[in-house]
Amino acid sequence: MAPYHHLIVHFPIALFTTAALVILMRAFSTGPVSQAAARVLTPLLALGVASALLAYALGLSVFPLETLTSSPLGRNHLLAATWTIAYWTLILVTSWRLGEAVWEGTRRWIMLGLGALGAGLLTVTGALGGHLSGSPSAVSQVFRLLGWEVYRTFYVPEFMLIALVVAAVAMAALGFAGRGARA
Amino acid sequence: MPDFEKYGGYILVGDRMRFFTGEATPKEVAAHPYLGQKKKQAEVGKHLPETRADVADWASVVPEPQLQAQRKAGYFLDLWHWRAHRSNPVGKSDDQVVAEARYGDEGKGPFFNNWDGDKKQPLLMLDPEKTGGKAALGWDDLAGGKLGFDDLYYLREDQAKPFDPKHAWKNGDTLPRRALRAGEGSRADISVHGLARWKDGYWDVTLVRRMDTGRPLDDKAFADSRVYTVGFSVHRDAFGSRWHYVSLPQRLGLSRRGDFRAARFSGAEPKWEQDWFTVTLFYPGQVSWPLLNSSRHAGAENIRKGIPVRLRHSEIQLAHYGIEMEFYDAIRRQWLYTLLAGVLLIAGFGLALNLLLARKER
Repeated sequence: MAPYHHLIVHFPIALFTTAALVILMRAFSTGPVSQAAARVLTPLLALGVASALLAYALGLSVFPLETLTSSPLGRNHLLAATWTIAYWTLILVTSWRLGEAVWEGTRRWIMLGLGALGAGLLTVTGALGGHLSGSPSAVSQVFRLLGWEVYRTFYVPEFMLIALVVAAVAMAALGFAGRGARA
Repeated sequence: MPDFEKYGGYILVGDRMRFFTGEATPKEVAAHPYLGQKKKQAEVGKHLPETRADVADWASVVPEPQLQAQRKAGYFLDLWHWRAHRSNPVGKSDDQVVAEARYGDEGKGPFFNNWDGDKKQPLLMLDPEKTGGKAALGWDDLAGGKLGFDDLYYLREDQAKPFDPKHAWKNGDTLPRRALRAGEGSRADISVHGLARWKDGYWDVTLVRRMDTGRPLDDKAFADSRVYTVGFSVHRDAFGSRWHYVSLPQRLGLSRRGDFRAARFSGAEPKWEQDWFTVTLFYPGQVSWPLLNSSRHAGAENIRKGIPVRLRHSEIQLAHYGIEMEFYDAIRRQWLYTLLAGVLLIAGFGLALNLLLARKER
């Protein structure tokens, strides 16, 4: 399945990268070109997420799960891919639910932040995939300079796990509380 | 040794090796009809893959005639083992061989255990007549690092005499566990050239051996204009066993191109005018040949295809992998929790974002 995974990953990479560029353009411009580009953002993201899920499934079938999760590079790639898909799905849902409203006021800067972080996750996932396929790029050197060694499994200590779960619950609660206050 | 050329010392690390998690017990090894009962092995040490019918089973030693045929065909590795304490004071290196197990070459090695098991006492003590009046070393001198290369810090057979329990021993008298000797036969083929010394954080060691020792079942003969594969390992800070640093295989060219090249010289010793060749060493961890050929290794198929380790891995990568292998289960579990926590965080963030932004929109 490896060749098919390599074939399909081009689609989410291209679609998410284009989506990130659209977000960047629309965040800084209200011109007709930017507005036209922003109108295709949701379908672009939908195609990106769909192709990413397909690439993810194909990737999981390249090696048995035990094999993939036995090496630090495999674990890191799987983690980054999972987060990337989850994150771009978040952007898709936001874009789909709010439509043009995401560009109003300060929300455009929120979208810009979302797009930048999504592009970053995509870069990490792609760079790790390159390593796994035997074609490491210089991007790993950048990660190393930033303090992350790609050959070491990325994980956080217990207290950070607790903090992440608490933060997730708190954010969800904040959202519901905010909606309740409005209602 | 084509596999050694591609994978270096990894091919020697077999199933249930000594000091690995799950190592074979001395009782199991002693009960093995060939390794234990005939060869008196007490543990599973380095061995070559094809000496086993199944590389994932240390006990599946192929029949003895096949082992003999392998040895005659040159299916063995020559292991030069210089030790700072167990061989350097007598100017020797241990000469060993790795085949179905790790053995010393024929003859006597440069050290032996200074212990009489029957009498439960040391075999030898220093001979005061040959050591300027010393019957033993001083514990405070040894533990305090007060002894230098010109001091007596070892026990040599030719400076010793049988242990005398009636000697006026005093607290702090210390006799080394290993007694040193020049060695004999094939096992004593390798000598230290000049004086090997520790200086400025490095050992400076030169080993010499005849190009062809005439012992084709123990040693690899060197021939000019040929290329050989060698690997290096270093035990630092008095750590033994598998806690060592190793290199990937290196090609040594004798007047030929290789990773590094040896050139002919005349006279007693080279002028050492060549450029330095730096070999990167790394800690390999509990990574065995059976593991590398199993479904847990994504590159197992590449090994079956004969793709060399260097084409897929760097030393820094293998160093990190080796260390992580020591904590395999714990790291894998923590990684999975991190992955799930990250997804939960994204979900929480997404939920909050959509609820709050939608509220503003209304």
